[in-house]
Formats: sequence, structure tokens, C-alpha cells
Amino acid sequence: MSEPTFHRLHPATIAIQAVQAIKSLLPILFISILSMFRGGGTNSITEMMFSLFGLLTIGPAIAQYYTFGYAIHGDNLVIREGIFTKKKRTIPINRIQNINIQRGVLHRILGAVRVQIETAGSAQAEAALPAVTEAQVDWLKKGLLSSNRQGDAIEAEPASEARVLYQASTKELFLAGATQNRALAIVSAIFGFIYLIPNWEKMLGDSAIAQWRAGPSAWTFWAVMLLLLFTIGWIFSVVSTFLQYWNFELTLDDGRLKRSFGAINQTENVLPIKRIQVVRISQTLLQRWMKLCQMRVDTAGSFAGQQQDQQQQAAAVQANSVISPLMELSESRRLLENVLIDYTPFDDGWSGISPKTIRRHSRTMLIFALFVTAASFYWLEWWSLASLPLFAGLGFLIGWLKHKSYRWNLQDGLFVAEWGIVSRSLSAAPVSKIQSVSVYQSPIQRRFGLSTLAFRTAAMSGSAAVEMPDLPEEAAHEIAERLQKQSGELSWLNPDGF
Amino acid sequence: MALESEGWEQLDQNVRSLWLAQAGITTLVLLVILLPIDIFALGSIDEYPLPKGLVGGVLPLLIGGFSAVMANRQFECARYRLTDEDLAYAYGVFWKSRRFVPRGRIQHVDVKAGPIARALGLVELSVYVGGQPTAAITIPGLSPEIGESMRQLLLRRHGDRELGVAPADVEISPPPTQPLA
Repeated sequence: MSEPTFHRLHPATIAIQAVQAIKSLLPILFISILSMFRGGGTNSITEMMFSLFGLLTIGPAIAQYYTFGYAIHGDNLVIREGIFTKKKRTIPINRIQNINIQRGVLHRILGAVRVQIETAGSAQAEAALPAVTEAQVDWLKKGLLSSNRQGDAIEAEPASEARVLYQASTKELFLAGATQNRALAIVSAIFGFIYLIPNWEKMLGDSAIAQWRAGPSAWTFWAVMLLLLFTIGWIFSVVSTFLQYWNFELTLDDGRLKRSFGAINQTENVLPIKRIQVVRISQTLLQRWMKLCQMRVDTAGSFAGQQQDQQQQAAAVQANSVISPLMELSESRRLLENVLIDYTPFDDGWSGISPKTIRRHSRTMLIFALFVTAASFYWLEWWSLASLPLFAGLGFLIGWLKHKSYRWNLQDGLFVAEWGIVSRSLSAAPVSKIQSVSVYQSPIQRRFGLSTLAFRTAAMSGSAAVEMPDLPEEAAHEIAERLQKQSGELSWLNPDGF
Repeated sequence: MALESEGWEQLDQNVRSLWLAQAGITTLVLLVILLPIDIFALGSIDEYPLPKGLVGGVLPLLIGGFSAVMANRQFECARYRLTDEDLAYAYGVFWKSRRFVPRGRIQHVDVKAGPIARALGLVELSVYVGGQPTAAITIPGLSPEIGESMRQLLLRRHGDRELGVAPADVEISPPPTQPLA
């Protein structure tokens, strides 16, 4: 076989990879600058560190540009890389599931596109092209996707029409940002930041603001400050949501969900519906009042786990799974029907959790309160006993709210769980996607004959996919056995394991 | 739910010795780390109220002693069950867990043994499912014969099935319409 002719990456690769490297080497840079300041000027050590820094960033970037190559050769995508250790990877085109496209800020300035090639099955055998030209993306798409999706036979009939399932309107994006709990987190971040600025009180000097703060109505100062910070945080939340999900569009095309969104960092990617393990609908407290919700999906072997650095990965995991930043709750069922295999209506047949959950939470809080009382007795003396009814009452309230709001539903091959006393979440998982089932019991749950039912799917996540606490012990075991039996019977549906 | 019935098996007796040995090793490691810290670092503080070596010496012994006591309880609480449909493992003294893995979901099976386990004639069986990087179930303390036969059983059932095709013997029973509980 003849040698394939390899294509080079976009020259912008050098800049993009260098910036990547700078990000990861930031601590070293920080130390160098710090030592420069402390030493009162440059010395040989800082110079050495700076040159090392330059070498570490630009060197590999240039080397990568000259060594990286990709080609479509016969029925394969061939990728060549490596500076010292040469590596040649061959990916059969018919194994390629989809191509994910990202344009970061730097990419857009330089006219480049980041391409990730995702294969079926394992999440490991993937290829990433850090930067290629727009023309090359089209060429890749044509070469990699068309050939395997439209075989000879299918080519004659027109491909099924792509359907737009969801489009975020400006109003929806605004509400998504406005009703997120994020505002509070940002406020505390700003607060912490201000606290860290040394001598900010002195900076105020003897100004009117300082007098206000020291004056008789000082509380208004703090109230206004808090309101101001909250507003800033809120605006920040709205703006960042707009930037993140700008032009959000979800289309269904031939069993694949296509998403495209982003104002500055643009993302286009594809989630095959078969890989969706759990669909989650979540509502913050504000969204519950306004009957709005957000929808996300957990997918198996998603490319989210393959991001280069952790920060990027966390962002990708978060954004990757959102299929609707905000929508009417009443609309959510229609979207759910489209993206969930084995969808069955689940309006009836809900079961709650055991009322004993109230006693369980009261007991837990009472035990906690005993510790608090013992610990605070030294300072509060007999007043510390007040924590006992306080915590017990709180425990009762939590238990009661949980008993009212937690529920689950097992229909034909679909498990649905709903929970949350402040914000509300609903998870729907096809039983055919369940990989393992667990029943847990803490010492206090044992006392009241309660158990937690949980199961995992093939989606990568640290915790259980779906969890339902405080079911009666017998029932939890019965459901667990039923779920695992049904899941085992349906395992032939998933040839590649998920 | 009673674990004593319906095919729930106990682990090999020797697993208690394995856990005791592990508790001993943990104690030793903690002693080696904590004792010098206590004597040289804490002890050099002028107003440190406790006698030298008390925390660094007693704490590891307490932890080790507790794990040694727990080894027996742990053994009493651990059970596994292998049926035509699933592999299940129940464990935990205070926090009880029971995990079920349908046999059709098993991706691969590991049987391994460390040096102490080998000396005691024990193996550990790990079962992996799709998409998860860690084992869904890890059963410690099986005799090598049982471990090996379980491995073969678990893999054979999976291998027999033609993937992507509904097996002839499988009748998908509709779930009961009446919700439980």
C-alpha cells in the first residue's frame, strides 16, 4: 500500500498550543515573577526560568506543528504524531461516530477549528486535531461522515429530515441566567475577593462612604452593599449564560442529537441517542415558581472525559450534557419523548418514600444536636440545650418535606425518580441502560427499616446515576431484584456494553 | 432481608486472617509515620501538654485494634450470591450495602491475589461493567478453586449470548403494573 499523503494542521496550532502550555505552566511563571520582585530585579535564576519557560511553551508547539499529520487513506483515517516516539494511529472510518467541533476565542481570531473525532465503543480511541482550517473541516466531514452514513443502498432515498427539537430564545437565555443559583456563589466570591484586598478601609479614607459606614445607620450601608453585590453577581450570571449558550440549537438527525451553541467559544457536537443513559430535568427554586426547567443528559463514553486539562474538562462535562438551558416545564415532556429511548408516559403509578423518613431525619438531627450541645456547653452553658429542639424541629421539617417531594415510578422499562426539597430534579433512565443495582443502609436507616436504592449506568460519573433514599427495606430489595433481572434480560440490546 | 438463605454464601474463613494482617500492617505504617512526628515535632513544642509519644503511639494502636475487632464482624456480614441471572455481594457492618450485577452486563472479570492472600490461599474476584472504570463488585477472600470456577461461569454465560440479537430463551416479562411499597 502506498504511503498516505499527510495534511498539516493549521499554522495557528503553534500559537494555540503555546497558549495551552502557558496556562499549564502558569505557576512557574508566577514564581519567576515573584522572585523577580523579591530580588529587586532580574538575576541569573529568573532569567534561566524565563528562558526555560519559553522553551517549554514554544518548543513543543512548533514540534507538534511539524510532526503532526492526518490523512484519509483508503477506508481509514490515519494520524501521525510524536516528536521522539513516533506514533501512527489508524481509525477505520466506519467506526467513527461523529465529529465534534469547537472554536475558542483564539481559534476564532486565527480562523482555526478544534476537531475531535469520536469513535464507537471505548472512549479512549479518540483523536483530537488541535487546530485545522475551516476548509479542512468540511473536507473531513465529507470524507469521514458521508461515506459511512450513506452506504450505496441508502444513497438513493433521501436522508430523513433533520428536525429542530429546541432553540433557545433570547427570553429563555435571559431567564436561564436570571434564575440560576449561580448569583449567590458569585456574590460570595466577590465578597471574599474584597475581603482579601488589604486596607480597603483605609482606601476609603474619610470620604462620605466611610462616614456612612461608621455612622448611626451603618446597617443601611451593609444592606446597600449586599444588594449591589447581588446585582453584580446576577448580571454576571445573565451575561455569562448568554455567552455560553448563545444561539443554542438542538436538532435531531438520524438518531443523533446535534447541538450548536456559544457566543465566544463555539461548540458543535453530536450525541447519538443510543448513548444517552439518563435524562435529567432540574429546576432551581425560582424556576419552580416560574414553571421552567433545564434539561441535561448523561451519555456513555462521551468525549467530555478526554479534554486536555482539568478546567476545560469540568466545563465540558457541564456544558456537554445540557440539551436545553431553559424551557417551559410543560414543554419538557415533548423533548423527553424525543431524546429518551424506551420512553413511556409516567404520569400515573408514582410511589413515595416511607413516612418513616421523618423520624429518621429527626433522629439524625437530634444526634447531631447532642454533639453540638456538648461542644457548646462550655460557652453557652444551659442555653446550649436550646439546640436540641431546634435541630430536632429542623430534622422533622426536612423529613416531612422529603416525604412530600421524593417519589419514583417504574414503568415499562423506564425508571423515573424525582427529588429535592428546595430545587427539584427528575431523572429518567431506561432500565436497559442499568449496569448495576445497589441497596444501601446506614445504621439509623436500619433502626427504622429503611434502605436507599441506587443504580449506575455506563455514563461516567462519580456517584450513582439515580438514587432513591428511605424506601421500606423489603420494597427496596424487591425493586432492586426486579431492576437487575430486567436489566440482565435487556442486555442483548446493547452490543457494545452500553 | 435474611442473608442466611437462598444461596447466599460466606467468604472463606481465612479472609479474617487476611484482614487481621492488613490491620497489623496499617498499624505499623501509621506507627512509623506518626510516632516520629509526635516525638520530634509535637514534642519540641514547649507547652505541649501530653506526654511524648502518646498520640503517635496510641492512635495507630487504637485504629489497628479497632480494625482487628472489625475483621470478625466484617466476615459475619459479608455474603455473595451467584445465580443464573446475577452476581450479588452484600457487605458492611454499620453501613450495609448490597450490590447486584446482572450477568449479561459483565464486561470482564479479574481474579487477583496479593502476597498475603496467596499465602493464605485466597483470591479476590472483581467484576467490571460497561463504561465504569472501577469494578462494580469486588469480592475478597475466595478460595482459588471457587474464584476460578466463578470466573469461568461468569464469562461463559456472557460469551454464549449473541449480542445485539434477542436470545430465543428470553421472554421479557412485563413489569407488574401495581407499584411496590
